[in-house]
Amino acid sequence: MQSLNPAAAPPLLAADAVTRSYGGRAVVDGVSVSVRRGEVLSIVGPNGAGKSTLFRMLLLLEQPDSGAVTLDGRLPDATSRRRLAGVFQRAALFTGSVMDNVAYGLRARGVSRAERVDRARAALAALDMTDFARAPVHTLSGGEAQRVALARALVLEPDVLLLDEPTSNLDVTIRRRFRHDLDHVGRDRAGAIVLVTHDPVEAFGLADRVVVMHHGRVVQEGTPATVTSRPASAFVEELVSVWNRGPVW
Amino acid sequence: MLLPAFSAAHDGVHVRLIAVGSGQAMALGRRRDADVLLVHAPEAEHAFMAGGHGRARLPVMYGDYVIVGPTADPAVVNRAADAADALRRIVLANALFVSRGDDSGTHHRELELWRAAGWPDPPAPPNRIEAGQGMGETLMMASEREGYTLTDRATWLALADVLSLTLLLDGDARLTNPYSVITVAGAANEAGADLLAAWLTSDEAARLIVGFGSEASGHRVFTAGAPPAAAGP
Amino acid sequence: MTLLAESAGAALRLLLEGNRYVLETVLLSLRVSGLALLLGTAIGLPVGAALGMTRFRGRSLLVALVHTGFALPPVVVGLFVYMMLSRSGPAGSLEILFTPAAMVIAQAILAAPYIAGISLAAIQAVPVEVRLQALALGASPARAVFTHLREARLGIGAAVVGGFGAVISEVGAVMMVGGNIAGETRVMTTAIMLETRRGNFATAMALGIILLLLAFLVNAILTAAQQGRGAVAAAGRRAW
Repeated sequence: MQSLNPAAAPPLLAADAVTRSYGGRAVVDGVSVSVRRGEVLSIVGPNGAGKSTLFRMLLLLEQPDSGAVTLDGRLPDATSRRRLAGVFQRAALFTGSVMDNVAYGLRARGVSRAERVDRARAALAALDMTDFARAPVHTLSGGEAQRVALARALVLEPDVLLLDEPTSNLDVTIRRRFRHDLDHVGRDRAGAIVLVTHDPVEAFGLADRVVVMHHGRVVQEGTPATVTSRPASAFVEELVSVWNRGPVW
Repeated sequence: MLLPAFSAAHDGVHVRLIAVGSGQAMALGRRRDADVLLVHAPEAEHAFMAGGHGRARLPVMYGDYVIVGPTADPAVVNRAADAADALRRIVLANALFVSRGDDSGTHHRELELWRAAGWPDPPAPPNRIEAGQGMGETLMMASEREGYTLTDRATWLALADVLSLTLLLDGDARLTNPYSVITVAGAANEAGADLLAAWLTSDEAARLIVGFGSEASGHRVFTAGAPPAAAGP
Repeated sequence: MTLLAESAGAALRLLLEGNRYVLETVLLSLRVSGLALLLGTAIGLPVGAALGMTRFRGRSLLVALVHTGFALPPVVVGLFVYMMLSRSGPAGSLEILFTPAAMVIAQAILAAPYIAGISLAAIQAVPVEVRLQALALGASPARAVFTHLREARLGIGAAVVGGFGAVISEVGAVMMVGGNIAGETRVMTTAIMLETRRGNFATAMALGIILLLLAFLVNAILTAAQQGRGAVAAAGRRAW
């Protein structure tokens, strides 16, 4: 993943003043976020802040009511969705073997069997999961399942990898392992990474840039250092205090 | 009609009526699941009595069978010489005959007619199909499939209005339909059975029998007593 | 008691010697109910999937209707189909009353709501994220739906097997629209009725034994599926 001069090219993936309402209430309200090639962006906020809806819109699974999501500064077309890959909360692996899961997206793209197997093995190897290729998913531990979910997305070498609460409810060792995987394998195989979470520790520990959301709006953005040292409001301060209590990584 | 009159005259006797075909009725009799039978399958009845399953067999009344079929009558049964000839015509015309196929008196008589017409075993489908059901259902099926069937006159008169069939042949001696009452040997309620048998063969019952159905059809459906000797088996 | 013992013995003899009447009757039952099951699944599964995967106004009403369909009395379905197919009815010109086709239709109507309802429950139990996750990996909408359904496959299988168990043992509908015609529309249940009334207990019992075995088999499959599903689900909760 190369780090191009950030100011020159349009962002790889961006939401431009998007709004989405359910039952008359704006769940996402005029939100603009963007991620550049080579960047890890984290969107953090409490549950109900609209993060999951924004997550789905960025994955092009849901249309905003107003505003637009763009790829390379352009509106998406029929092929755009396949430039992205998402990992939903709590792994959500399909019943079957690890190999079946990792090869899923490749099968959906019509990749030949031989190539599927090769690429899937490579992705598993990168995450030290080679031995698990044939294992049925229900025999995996939480951490193992999460690595399979990551492999399943990274095997597609997406332009943008989006993750929803990837290490939520998982213990510290798994988190450390995940940060390592994201830094080494994730940055290697994905053009950019967007991480959506309610957990400030996860957000500030992994990202290059952070966006804080509250009640459907962006309340602050910047590098983790900037946000944690200069919170823009009492809410952000409260959020950051968890992080400031000390490293859990 | 007969049973309510009997019950009215005989307070202490409770009659439970199970309506099945004669073959089935005699099977019930053999197992002594019934005390008294009202049946109309003379050949089978003789075998039943010969086997010692019945104490007494008394003629009650006789009616007749008729052959009914589609109004268009492709087999021209209405010009048949007799019942056996009618069946021959049906087969020759490749028309459909619907049998009850359930061991009833009607079924037995039908098989006798086939034998008389020259078929020791009745024809196979698609000429003749066995419905395995009662007279009403068999008539409905014949009506739906535009086929011919053998039916007792009483059921025919009751259902003629809802069927799209026509009466095509009657009056053949072989179509006489005698009903007998049989008291079952070793039955649970022999006394009650005897009472019922005696009443059914009484003048009182005879009057009711003769009056049956004649207002509606202008036709006498049943005659009391035994049929003329030359007629039935 | 001796009647029971004698008939049971004679029944076993009939079965062992492969009695033709019994065999043909069983085969016809399997064909009619098998086809009815296919047709019922073709109708019921899409309905169950649509109701299980979507939310829209009026959905609860439709789900309630499907559940009411569980309790459709076979004789009433038989009556309805009879009236439709009778020569004086709207579909009379098809001339399929008293043929196996009519029986298949009646049994399909009986099976479809059951299959829809049971599969609906299974499909609904699959987390919504499955479909979204599939789409997020580049699956087409159709493939994503299929993946969702695949997660519910044990429940869907149970629905189909249960539906088969229901139709193979019903007698009201097939008697009315089939007519119990020997060699054409006589299935196990209607044959048992006739043979019992005729006093042919051996034949009736032979057929009854087979029917019981089939019911047992259906239940065994359902139980195995339940156990399997239970074990996988318990372990799989970690993967979710």
